[in-house]
Amino acid sequence: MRKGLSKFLTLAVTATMVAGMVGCSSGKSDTKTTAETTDTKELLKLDVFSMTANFAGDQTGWFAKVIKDKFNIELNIIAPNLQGGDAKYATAMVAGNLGDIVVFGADDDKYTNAIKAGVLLDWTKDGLLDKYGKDIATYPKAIEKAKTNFGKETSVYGLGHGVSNMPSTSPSEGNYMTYGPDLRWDLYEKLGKPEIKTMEDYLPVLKKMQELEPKSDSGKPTYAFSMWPDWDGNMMMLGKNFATMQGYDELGFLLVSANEDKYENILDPNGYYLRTLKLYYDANQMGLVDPDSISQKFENATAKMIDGQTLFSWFPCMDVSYNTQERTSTGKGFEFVPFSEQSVYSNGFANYGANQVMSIGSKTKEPARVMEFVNWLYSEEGIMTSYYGPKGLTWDIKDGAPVVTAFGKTALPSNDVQVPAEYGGGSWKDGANQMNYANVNVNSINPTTKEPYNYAMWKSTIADSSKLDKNWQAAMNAFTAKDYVVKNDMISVAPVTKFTAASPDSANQQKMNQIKTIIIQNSWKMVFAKNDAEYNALSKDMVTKAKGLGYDDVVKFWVGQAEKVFAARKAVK
Amino acid sequence: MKLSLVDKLFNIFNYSFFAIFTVVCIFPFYYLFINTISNNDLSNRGLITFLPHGIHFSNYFEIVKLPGLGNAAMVSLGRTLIGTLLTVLASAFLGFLFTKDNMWGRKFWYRFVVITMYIQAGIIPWYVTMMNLHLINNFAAYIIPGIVAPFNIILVKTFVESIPASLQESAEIDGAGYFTIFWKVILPLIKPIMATIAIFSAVGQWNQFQDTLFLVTDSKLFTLQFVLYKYLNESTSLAALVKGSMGGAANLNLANMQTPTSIRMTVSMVVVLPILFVYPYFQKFFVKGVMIGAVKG
Repeated sequence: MRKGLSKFLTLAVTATMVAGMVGCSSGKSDTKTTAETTDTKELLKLDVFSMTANFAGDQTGWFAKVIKDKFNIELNIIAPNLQGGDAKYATAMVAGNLGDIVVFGADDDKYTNAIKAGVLLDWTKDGLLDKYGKDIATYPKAIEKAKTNFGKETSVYGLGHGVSNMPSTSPSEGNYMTYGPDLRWDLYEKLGKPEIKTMEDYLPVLKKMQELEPKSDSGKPTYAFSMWPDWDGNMMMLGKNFATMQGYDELGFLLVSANEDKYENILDPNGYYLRTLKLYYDANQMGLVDPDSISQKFENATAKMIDGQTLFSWFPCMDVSYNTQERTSTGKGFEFVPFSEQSVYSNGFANYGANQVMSIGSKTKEPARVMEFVNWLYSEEGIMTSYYGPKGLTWDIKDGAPVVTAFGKTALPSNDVQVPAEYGGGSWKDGANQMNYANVNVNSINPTTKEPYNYAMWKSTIADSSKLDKNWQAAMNAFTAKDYVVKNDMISVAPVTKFTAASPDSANQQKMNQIKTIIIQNSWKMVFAKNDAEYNALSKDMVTKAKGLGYDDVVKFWVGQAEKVFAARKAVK
Repeated sequence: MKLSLVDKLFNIFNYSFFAIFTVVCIFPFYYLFINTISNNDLSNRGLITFLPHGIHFSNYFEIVKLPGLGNAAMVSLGRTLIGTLLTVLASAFLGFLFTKDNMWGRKFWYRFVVITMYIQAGIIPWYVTMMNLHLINNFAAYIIPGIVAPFNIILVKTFVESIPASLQESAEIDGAGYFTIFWKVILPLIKPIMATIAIFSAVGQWNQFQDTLFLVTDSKLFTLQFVLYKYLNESTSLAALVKGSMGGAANLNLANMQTPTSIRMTVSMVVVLPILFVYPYFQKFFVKGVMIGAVKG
């Protein structure tokens, strides 16, 4: 008996010793080293829990240097998108600590639950906002929305993104809109720039363009449309894109007009969604659709665009993949080619802040310093630096006007070029602000320079356009795509309001989840249907199944939300 | 002995089936390998399928430059070595103890340990436990939870029971205590099963990334598997991002925001290679070890 007991005790002691040794020897335990006192600026390491970040780890490079020199702050980015998604958020909530700065992808349950759980700091507590938030206070409407919608009229737990004091009926985009369409301008020019009246008129033009350039740079066949299903949400995402070109965008299962009190549901037989599917079906019959579309990912589609395999681009922001300096200097590249009936959807400036939120964690050890840092992101200097680096690196002021430097021309917007050591070294794109949150809309006017913060919109940059841009400008009689649509009244601006759409209740949510699977699957099948008979059969099947699963109930919910949107818009105007 | 027709047909079918099966098992690794040594441009576009083109090895030199990869490799190596060592020793000792009838509360402790194999509480309770034990952002979180592994203990126990009791009894008669019996008599004899446990444990430690996922936010404690997991997730998360905030994406060069396919494949290769090399070496112990306790007497 004694032997057994002594054995057990030895084991227990050994186990404890091992545990103790390992625990102590790690030395890598608690990493939130914080400043001891508030006055002396000791190194402050902040955990940034960003649901919009696409990078995890310590912030490095030029942005790290800027904030270290200015605030003696280092950032550790935690990205749930890369690290466990919703489960990561759940575990952080259980620990009662989301970090020092928290960025929410949407002002939905996650945000409201965090407020309820007391995990987020109230910026009005101890006069924090008044003392350290002087630049934030220049956006009073955003503060107002925070108080009314989420703070019980008194507290501010965070602000919406993209705030601006520009008029809310003015388009908030930069040089080009969110939605195109853009075509290969060089090929379009060769065809004599034929007029395109309706959305269906693109197909014959694209077919001729395909005949002009049947092979890409690497010898692969070209297609007009190379699509990707991984961005599908409540519907086939690329199925709504022609609707966006005509002023409608999605709200649940509805397509809602930007500035009129109109909406349609996506299964409406005369609606844009089904009309777009028919367009793709016809395109496929003409050999214009990439057969890989149904299975490839966005990165594959981008790679194809870089290679020159696509002739049509839905999102102007993608064009930059193809529009390299080499190509644009010879006049080759994608440019905006609208159709006559077009009235592209545009978001107005978000005076109240849009739906992503930046908050401060309630357990942060130095709220004053964090508030100071967050406030800086709303100041003129902070906006320019956090987007485009410190003055002198990629941009400078010459004769009172902002210009892009030679280095900036190679580095912007986010290229992999080496930054000089005195600015922090490393690659430009890796050293950029990885929190991935747009505090202020960069297309707003900078009060000091009287030009927008966005370098692409500066007079000096536009004057320095490539051959491709100059050809386009001459043909379209406008400086940029946005300029063109505003001049020709082909734009529908949706004012961004204080209204936050509600999430459907669990019954409706469940119906939506089932219905959207049917809609997405059938939409793709319809595009690749072999003949009209199959197309019509799939279409009928989609509607029948959707209705059977409660489509009409879900639509009713979203119609209710749409009505609220219309009311909120009237209040803003 | 002459084979009948049926036997011959069976052999043909057998060999062909297993040949195909072997190809199916090996092909993913082969595909990964040829993509890492082929021209990056071609592999990014998914053009390399059966044969490499434009062979070069610079990818392997490139990834050494990736930030954090070296540190992650050290962390992975550290946890594999330390974790395996401790797990093997603890499993051996506990397995040995459980064979002793006069162990205090033997039946209770044995059942207590084995039940944990069947019951899982889920992520949140696990996280809360780890949090209360201060194992968040702590290297010990990689080692301590794995030390008592019921499956390994059962293996050792069965194996030790197959060793003739007379060996232990003779040591006891000569005045050996339990510790001495364990170190001098048992340990040398259970080498096969220890190798088996070592390989299970090493592979488990090397491949584990879930604990890093939830318990660690300090980048100095990231493991190699976790770095790979991050890279693999980048393209999906980018898609989610762009979907959510169209306006914000307008100023970025989207193609540059993802780690190229070639880099991701090279990191995958580097993560898999150590196991690929180590496993065949331990294979001989593995086959002997698992089955040897099964037949007694």
